[in-house]
Amino acid sequence: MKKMIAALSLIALSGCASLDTSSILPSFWDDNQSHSIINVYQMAVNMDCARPQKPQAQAMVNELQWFQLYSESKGFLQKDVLKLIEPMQATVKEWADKDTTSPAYCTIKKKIVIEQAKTASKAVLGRF
Amino acid sequence: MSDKLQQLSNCGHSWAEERARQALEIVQFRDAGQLTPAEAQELLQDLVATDKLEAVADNIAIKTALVEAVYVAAQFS
Repeated sequence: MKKMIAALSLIALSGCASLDTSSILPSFWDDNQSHSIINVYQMAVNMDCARPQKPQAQAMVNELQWFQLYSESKGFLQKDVLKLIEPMQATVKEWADKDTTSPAYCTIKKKIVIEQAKTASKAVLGRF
Repeated sequence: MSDKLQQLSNCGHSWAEERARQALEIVQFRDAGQLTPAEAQELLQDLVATDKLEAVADNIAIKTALVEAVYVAAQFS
């Protein structure tokens, strides 16, 4: 009963009982998504610019793809986290597509990806 | 553009200052030949993407806080 009251209050607070509840309700805590996003964060932190970058970047692409496929399979409430990772997917895909880069590229790209991964991790792990 | 970024890097808003400093670093590396123009453009677009990601993250955090608040209120009703 209390959970029903909470859910109804949430809908009322939104101002509109829309059928698209993904715009009202956030997705909720998920162990697998949490593990996956931290994997991405760790890969970003451990990126070694002295070693071939392409396979390291591809590993991040693959992990983000895992996150995407898992979230899409999980259901309609996952739209928020799917939207969350879109910018990061674009950022790391560009990196993985490169065979060679300038000296400063890896250093700067790594900083950006770490920042994105850190923000995404906090959002994913901070859910109810 | 570098002048504008220099100004923004001291504008008093920490989030804008940090972003401006990052953009300035990219521009300076490009001008010094340590980044190609295409790489610099890509990295600058990555900064824009970072802001989009942060906006979505903020949205998730706000909705989560709302759910938590309503749940707690329901527990005590």
